[in-house]
Amino acid sequence: MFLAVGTPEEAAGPTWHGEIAAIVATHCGSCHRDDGPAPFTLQRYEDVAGRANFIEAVVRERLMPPWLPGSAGLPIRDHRGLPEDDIKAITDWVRAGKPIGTAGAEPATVKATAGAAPDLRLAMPEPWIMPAEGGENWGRRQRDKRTFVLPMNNAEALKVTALAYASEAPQAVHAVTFLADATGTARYTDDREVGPGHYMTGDVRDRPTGVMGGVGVGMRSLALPPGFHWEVEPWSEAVMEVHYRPTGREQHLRESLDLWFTDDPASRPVRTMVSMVRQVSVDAEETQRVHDTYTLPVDVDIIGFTPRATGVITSMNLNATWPDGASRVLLDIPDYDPHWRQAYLLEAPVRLPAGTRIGGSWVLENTLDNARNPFVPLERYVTGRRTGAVAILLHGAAADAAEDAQLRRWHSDLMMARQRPR
Amino acid sequence: MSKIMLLLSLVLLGAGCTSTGRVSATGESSSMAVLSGQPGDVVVLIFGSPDCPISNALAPEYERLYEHTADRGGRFCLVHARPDVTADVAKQHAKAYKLSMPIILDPDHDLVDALDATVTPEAVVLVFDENGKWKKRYQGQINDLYASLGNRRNHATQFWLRDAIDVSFDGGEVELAYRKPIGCYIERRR
Repeated sequence: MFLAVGTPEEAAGPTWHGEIAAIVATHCGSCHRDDGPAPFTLQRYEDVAGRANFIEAVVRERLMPPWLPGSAGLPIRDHRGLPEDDIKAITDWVRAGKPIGTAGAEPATVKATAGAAPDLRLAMPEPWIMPAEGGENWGRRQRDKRTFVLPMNNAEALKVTALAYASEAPQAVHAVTFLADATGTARYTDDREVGPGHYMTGDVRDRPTGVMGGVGVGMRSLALPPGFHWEVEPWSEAVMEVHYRPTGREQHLRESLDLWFTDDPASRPVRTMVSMVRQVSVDAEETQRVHDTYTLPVDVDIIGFTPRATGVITSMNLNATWPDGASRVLLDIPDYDPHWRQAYLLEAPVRLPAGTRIGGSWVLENTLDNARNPFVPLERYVTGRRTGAVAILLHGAAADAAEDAQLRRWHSDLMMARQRPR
Repeated sequence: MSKIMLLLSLVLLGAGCTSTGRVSATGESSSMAVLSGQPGDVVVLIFGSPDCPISNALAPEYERLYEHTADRGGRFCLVHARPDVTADVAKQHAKAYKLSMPIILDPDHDLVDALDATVTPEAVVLVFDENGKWKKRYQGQINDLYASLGNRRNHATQFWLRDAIDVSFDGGEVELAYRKPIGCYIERRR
């Protein structure tokens, strides 16, 4: 007589209080919160139930939460991808009529957290006005990007261990990549344009130092694992390459960058090794796969990656083949969207021994089927760039100072060799 | 229900979709005067939402289309489909996005149901025909800025609503009368 016949809210399926609130808090709440970068909040039952069918559709299509890496690569820290079980729970919940269930302990609502005060805060002195709409591409380049240069005024070299980016228009600003430039090139370029920032794409230098990763939607800060730092030469300027998506109204961008430093003498500098194809040429309606390989000259502890490519690229991956012939995928992005990219840090550093061959591979689809192709109407897509028309940056550190010097020399030679006509 | 609701909605529309910058609601209008149309009259409705980024991205195009429709003697309204949008929210949104067209709040989804709107943004073009009836000439996407949900181009290259408006004024038939709209789902009230 005591069969499990309960109210609809006690049915076996997922309920808001049973499963859904926790899933939403874990995977959506960091952006969909008051004053967050997402267009609406998803904190309360009413917020989620009022958009339930839309939410179900975008998680089922894996559009949300935005997360590019597939499962084939190395484990990545702060993985935001939604597990299949959670997607099914959301689908079942919506189909069951969004039962609220029995209230228990509420999952913590996500709020912006304040950590330790930064060692250096850089902020734009005046805003740049982002246009309301995107325009036609010109010169085979994507628009909707702006680079800002902020002096660091550092008389000494700095060891950056973490950074955090803040935008005045967080819904509009998607991917941001960072460089530290001591050559003056970025400043020179900036001074050539009126108003804050300039149209440039981060090619201020091609040495392996200087890159400081990038942040994206859902991840506005980046902290290196203990024992690693980005090296910043004296009198550098922070270069922020901002990819934005116009929101339908003009908005002020007055961006800021917080930096944290270490003075640990044992900390190792993170270098950036570039897998790249310098020039690409793809006919209209053509799909093409391009490759690049190089071989590490010393042992490298890799900590992460930064993909860099336009929307013509629909997928990419990075592989490693060990000297003994074993191989595995380091990073796999099966469905690439430039607006959702960021730097990806590994759950733990991985040692790649000297002699490991690194292979990068990219698929370019200059077709209308590629909905992210920014270059419509179609024509032959030809572009070149010193640091790669398509690229995946591999971040890692050599074991000691001597091997670090060797790594830097090798990479400089590699980049120089790539500039020569083939 | 559809025809009745459509008639009712258009009655209310007659109250709301006429004056620049005005915000009114389908359920609160006191003006029940039957919407009288002249053959060839054109009404354009855009279902939108203040917090839908896909809809907001098209705000400058809404304003251009409003001016274009008005120049040709038609009426153009933005209809907020979310039930939680108040008049104040709608006014603030219009100010932020520089929208000057009349705005209708549709908290009970009278218009959503009558016109079978599914997402924001979604456009509907109605024409008053020779038999004294309003006919739907076009429904769906405004342009091709979004190729699919999550896939946005840098800029639009096809302007289907603008074409549909022009064809409607010119008395012709829209080549493709329905283009499945792409946007934020409207959570139906019933």
